[in-house]
Amino acid sequence: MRKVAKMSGVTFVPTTLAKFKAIVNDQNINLPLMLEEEWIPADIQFTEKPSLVPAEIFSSLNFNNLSSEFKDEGDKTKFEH
Amino acid sequence: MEDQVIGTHVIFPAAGHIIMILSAGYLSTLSEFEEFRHPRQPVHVSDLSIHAPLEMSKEIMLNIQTLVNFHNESDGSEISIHKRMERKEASKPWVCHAEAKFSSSIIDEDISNSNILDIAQLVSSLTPEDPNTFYESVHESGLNFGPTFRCIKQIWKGKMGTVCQFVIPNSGENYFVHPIASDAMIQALLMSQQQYMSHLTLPIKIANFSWYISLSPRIVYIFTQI
Repeated sequence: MRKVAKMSGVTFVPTTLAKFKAIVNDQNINLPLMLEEEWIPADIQFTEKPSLVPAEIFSSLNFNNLSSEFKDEGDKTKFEH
Repeated sequence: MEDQVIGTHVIFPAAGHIIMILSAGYLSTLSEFEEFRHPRQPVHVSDLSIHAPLEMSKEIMLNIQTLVNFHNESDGSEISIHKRMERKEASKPWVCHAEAKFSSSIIDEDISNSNILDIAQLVSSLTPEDPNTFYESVHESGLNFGPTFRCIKQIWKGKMGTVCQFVIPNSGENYFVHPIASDAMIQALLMSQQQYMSHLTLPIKIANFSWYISLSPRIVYIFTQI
């Protein structure tokens, strides 16, 4: 199977429902700063650092090289987002 | 969208921000006018930072703006996502919810043959686990996945890492990166590290996300190496 996508350096922060609700209700906050500075419960010890573990997607695509596959998958459709 | 709820709040997921950044970056630089082709080269999002949770509601109409600041082909674009609650609140400022960089340059890793993995051999050395255990655990902490986002169907764990199997659904919508796929990667990272499952834990930054090829609905695997 061949790699299709890769995600790395994800920063997770712990919080609580009550604190998250307060963040949602205050639209003028900066989420990373608030979580880093005062919203992380004191009893949770792991620090706010990026995860060193990457996540990679693999699929059983049969193709010889990426460029030809992109041509094959480049179907012409209207944008619907 | 109601399939991803924190407490009682329907929150636009980090995976959704990735898709919006990718779509805005791609449409503003690579795609042809008024047509949407799947990208013919890898696309990348870097330095994604979520500044504020973007709450969704059926009762309140949201105005969303995506701003693209294109620099050049090598440096890519800086993209930010902004929200204002309703049009009548014109005096209220736009709130920046997320920003990131977009680029489409091909790097050597994208086309390397070393990116091939024998999933069957890898899984044979790992131990299967029930993905429902993960979903029940994060539900207790306040993160509720509905049926659509409970997408991971099988997990295998071991010293080599964690493998998750999920299915990209045939939704009929024209995603070149399906939100289920990018969200499943975040879920896989949560699953791979036990301490993330015991508390409400949220992604707020993603350093790099690369998408090498478009995928039709199919069974795919996520590998996280511990």
